Amino acid sequence: MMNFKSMATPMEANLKKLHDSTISSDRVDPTMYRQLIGSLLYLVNTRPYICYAVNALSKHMVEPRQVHWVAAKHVLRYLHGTIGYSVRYTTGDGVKLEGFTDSDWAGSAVDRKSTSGCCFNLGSTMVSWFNKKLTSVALSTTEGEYIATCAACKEALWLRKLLADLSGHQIDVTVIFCDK
Amino acid sequence: MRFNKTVADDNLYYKVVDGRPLILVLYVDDLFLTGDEDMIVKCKKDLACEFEMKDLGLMHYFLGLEVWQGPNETFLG
Repeated sequence: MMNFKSMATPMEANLKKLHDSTISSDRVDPTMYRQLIGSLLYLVNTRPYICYAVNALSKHMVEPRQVHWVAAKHVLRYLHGTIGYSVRYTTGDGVKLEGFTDSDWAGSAVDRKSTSGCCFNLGSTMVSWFNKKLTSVALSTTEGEYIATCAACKEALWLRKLLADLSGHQIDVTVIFCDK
Repeated sequence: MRFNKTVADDNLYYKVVDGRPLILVLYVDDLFLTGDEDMIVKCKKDLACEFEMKDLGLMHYFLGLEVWQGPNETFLG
């Protein structure tokens, strides 16, 4: 895989294709696939922008097909084009903690569960991020967003506890932004 | 060494002396210190008395993460 074209995005926008073509696609070596996803999962620690793609791909660890393998290589090609990217932390930004969440409604074609995304900024830098498929089915977009915000609150509590420990006092109110 | 363990993370220790902070992050046999410059130097000495230590200087690599440190900014990649 040395001579290949870089990709501008970590994943194709049409996720449904990944699910629909699952049955018709050939199986690939599960060990190879799991090793690749395992490596990508670790890379999410410093590459927040592949978080969602890796989350989506890691749902197919049991029986990976050719479509998933191609999508996983798509992530690699994206990384090839953004090899110099890193997370930047600067001094003097203050310790204001802010959270952002979003949720797709019934994003999974298989069981209609939503996937939520969340990130936290400390000053101007992102310090925590995750994507998670929710465990219960949301009956409305509002409910989906509400569950996602709840997941963000849990993370916020932990981050606040950590910051309170390190700074010796409770930090200011943490605002979590969500949409409707 | 009089470090306090944080409630939030078992691998994270801190202490504050005269308003100067020192944070110690520990993972199995790897650790790094951050905080007040003088306190880091003193802590390194104290640790070396107690344990067999290797000082790798300014952090460039930790648990598979590459670290670039500048005067006012740090990059993680």
